[in-house]
Amino acid sequence: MKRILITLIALVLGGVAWSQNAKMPQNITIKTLDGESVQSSVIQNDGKPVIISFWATWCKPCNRELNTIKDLYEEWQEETGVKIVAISIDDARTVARVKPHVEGNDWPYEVYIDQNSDLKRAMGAISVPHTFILNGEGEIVWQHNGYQDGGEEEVIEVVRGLLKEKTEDK
Amino acid sequence: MKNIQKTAAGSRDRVANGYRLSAIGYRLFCVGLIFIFQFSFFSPTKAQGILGGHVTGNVQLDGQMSHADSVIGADDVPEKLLMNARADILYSNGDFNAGLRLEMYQNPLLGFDAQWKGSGVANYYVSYKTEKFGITAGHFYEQFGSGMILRTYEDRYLGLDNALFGVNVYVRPVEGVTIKALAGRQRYYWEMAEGLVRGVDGEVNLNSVLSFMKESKFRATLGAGFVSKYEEDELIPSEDPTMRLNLPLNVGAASFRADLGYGNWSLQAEYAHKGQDPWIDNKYVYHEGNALLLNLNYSQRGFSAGIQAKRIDNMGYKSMRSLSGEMLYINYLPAITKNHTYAFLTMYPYATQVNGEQGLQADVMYKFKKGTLLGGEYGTDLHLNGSLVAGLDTTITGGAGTEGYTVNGGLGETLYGDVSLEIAKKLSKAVKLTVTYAYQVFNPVVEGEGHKGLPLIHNHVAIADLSWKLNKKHSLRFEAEWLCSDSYYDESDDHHSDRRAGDWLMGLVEWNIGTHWFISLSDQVPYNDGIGNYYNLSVGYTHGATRFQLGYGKQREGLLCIGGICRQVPASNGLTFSLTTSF
Amino acid sequence: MGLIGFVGLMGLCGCDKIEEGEYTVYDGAAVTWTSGTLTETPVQRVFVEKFTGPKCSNCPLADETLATINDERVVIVSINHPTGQGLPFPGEPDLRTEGGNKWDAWYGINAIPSAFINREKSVRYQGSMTNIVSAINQALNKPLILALDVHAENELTDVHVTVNLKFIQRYTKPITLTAALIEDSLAYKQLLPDGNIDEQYMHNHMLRKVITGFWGSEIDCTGNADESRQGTFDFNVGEDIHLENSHIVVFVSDKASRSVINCASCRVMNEE
Repeated sequence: MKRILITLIALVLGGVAWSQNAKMPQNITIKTLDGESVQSSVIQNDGKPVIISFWATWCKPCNRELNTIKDLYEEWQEETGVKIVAISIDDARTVARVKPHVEGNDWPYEVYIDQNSDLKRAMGAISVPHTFILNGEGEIVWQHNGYQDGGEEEVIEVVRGLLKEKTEDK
Repeated sequence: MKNIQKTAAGSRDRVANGYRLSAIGYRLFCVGLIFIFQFSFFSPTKAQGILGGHVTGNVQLDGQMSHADSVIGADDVPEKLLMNARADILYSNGDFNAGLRLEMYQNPLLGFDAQWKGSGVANYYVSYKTEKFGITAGHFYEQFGSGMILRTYEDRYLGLDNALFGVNVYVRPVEGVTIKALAGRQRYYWEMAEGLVRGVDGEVNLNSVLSFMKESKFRATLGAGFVSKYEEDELIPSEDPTMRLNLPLNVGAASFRADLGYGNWSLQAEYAHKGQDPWIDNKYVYHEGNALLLNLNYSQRGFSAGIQAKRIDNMGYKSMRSLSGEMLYINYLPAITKNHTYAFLTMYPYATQVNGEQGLQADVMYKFKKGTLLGGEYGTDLHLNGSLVAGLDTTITGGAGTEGYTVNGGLGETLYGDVSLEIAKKLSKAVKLTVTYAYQVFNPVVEGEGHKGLPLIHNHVAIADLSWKLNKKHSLRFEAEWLCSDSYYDESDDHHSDRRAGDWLMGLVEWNIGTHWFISLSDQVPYNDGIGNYYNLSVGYTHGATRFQLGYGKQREGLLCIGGICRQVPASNGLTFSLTTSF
Repeated sequence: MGLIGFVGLMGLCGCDKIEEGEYTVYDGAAVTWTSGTLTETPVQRVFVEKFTGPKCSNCPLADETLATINDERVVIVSINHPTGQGLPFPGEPDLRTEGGNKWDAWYGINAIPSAFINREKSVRYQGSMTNIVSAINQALNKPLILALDVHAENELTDVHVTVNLKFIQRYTKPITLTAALIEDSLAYKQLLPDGNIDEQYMHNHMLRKVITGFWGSEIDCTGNADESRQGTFDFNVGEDIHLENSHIVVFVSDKASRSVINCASCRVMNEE
């Protein structure tokens, strides 16, 4: 059995060598703030990059990050067309506070709820805050765990880099 | 009554040949993986490279070295180094997914049950998911509604994993309708519990289904779920030695829920009912269980208010009736109190009382706009929260093998209450200050029936949290906390041997260097009636999705709580390190 | 469509409702534990459960195999399967018992003859069971964990039973004692392998009654080596049982796994 396992892992890792960037999982059920179940494939931005930020109402660095970006978001959107999708992993204890939290903080983001961390788990994230950047094709090109002041600059730099690549390709 | 980790003696023996079954499952899993590779090989549209597909995942490594310290009550660790490690490897190819998780506890970190010791493939699955239909075979995590009748999840920091091993299916026949069905057995450390869990759940989003509601401002989602567990008969004596319990082998639980919204208002309600389920922590009584959860919220730009009410009566629902403690719960009953994060606010944490509790929580957030009197130049955030939890008012009518008790209308003893006010204000472009004041009432009985009859503990907590951005590269954060408690420490009195007793002060300095490094130094000291000196130094480095953290210091014994589930963590004194990476 | 499936599934996983007043059930004779001493030389015995039925043509083959084992250390209990080939011929004695039905259900017996050694659920012997003989011998040679003996005194149908047990090795997991009444030399109809019916087939070791609870009564002990305990209980045999042909079988099993650690038997009627 062990041998099979090792073979399989080798196969899997071998596969990586050929593969492009992983696509974001498409068929994980998440909820909108209105309680409607949707598939994770709703997360897209018409060929432009997407920043996915996993957060929770009780997570201080998450709130710092999302509050900081709030002030920059308009500029970012004008410059790069990027869209931020904030995915809450609040569970039954605090999930009812997600919508009030988002509106109370006046966050302009597209927000979804991943109550049992299904999407977070499928994307391989361990703890919040965890940020992913998807390119225009919906592929995960960058990820980051945690937030420290100034971290937002790194995020937008990656997005800018993506756009530069794209124009160069053309 | 307890919601704290403890394991029933002999319960381990009741876990039957889980390994043999899981070996079969494992074989199936391998076949599944091979199938996927074959599929990707022959599928011309999806193949990328020879194998196609993508691998993602993460690796986590936590280590601990601790030596004895009699003052804080830390024991020596004979093996010198304790380590928990795990790796999730996820494979995806179009609609196919497969994953496996390797776990290793050699030996488990302090506070993790000794039964975690071991290493191997702890979780594996294959799944095929489309918009209309999905199936997962192997280990899976699922939740019905708010989880009051079923939630399987894992929390690596609490050492909890109640994953079901079996089959999980969903169907979406039309937009807005989801039906889920599942069957399986739960993971129990390195084995599987014997109890069988089966469930179905349906959810309808009325706005999608009813044409006249498509454009309505009124939003409604309705759902219902049903779960049944089966466990073999066993000998459980009643008080009369010639009698035994006539156990219900199938125990069902059903729930109905509604998620409604209108404009700025939203209301979530869920009611659950559980059939007769005599088990160890309800003292084998036949009283049926029920739970009600209500959430009413109003929110608009810069303002929100919410009220939450919860009542639980005998809703502990496990797939092993003879097991006490936190493992093998089928359902999830979160605490109704605010999920505090500051150290002193979590010193006396509330834990859900699955046998019975009723509580209320209210929460208000308000933003004073920039340029107003209270808002100042940058605005001010206000957050007010209060909660109160009491037991049920019951009359005991008998022991094992009887109805057990009747519930009267009133309130039982006070279990927990707190009120907290948090004000966050940006003082200048670079400086932000958050001050918090909280008052807490804590009944020690929530940490176990052994604490019954102890006096209530009353605490005042004040916290100042200041972050200061020095320049583009450096920032500092200071935190000062003060806890004033009427509890006291007396070594000679069992009832007052709690090392967290008394008044405390804490200071913390955190220095962020760029976006990669941080150093933090903190110290918690009791200055009145308490005992110990808990200093900590930690250094962390983050690069992308990789984090490394090294800490040295003392950890107070106590409860580590996440979401109302708590685990007893012993005192430790020494080095800890942690490495996590996602790929 | 989905709705039908939904309702169907809900029906499938029902939930048991137990009426008030039936929360507890009679669990057989209550065993009283005190300290005691073993009265016989410690010996490892083996407990064989055989599921049988009068309309089961292959069951006599299993009987033949078991009859070749002429060893007092082998304690056999024959249990009448509750359905199918276990049903009695019209007008014939019905040897099905509540306890036997419970054990049958626990094993999930779906074909007879079936036999198990020491309640090891995973190894089932079927048909003529010729391989059971060597397995029994192997089980007899296991290192002894616990020794026990059993004695009975009767006054008409009232029986007083004394069980002595001694731990040879330490065994700290919870253990239970189960006692059952078996009867030999019951002559009634039995289907034979050749398709004929033997009107007066001699049925031996037939389970008539589980005296203690079906899953035993927990033994009050610490499980340390050399610990000795004595358990006593009383029961009434009942009218339709021939005392002179009856035995009391007792076995000690692990409470959780139910596997049998050791067993013993004695006649109901005093030897003298």
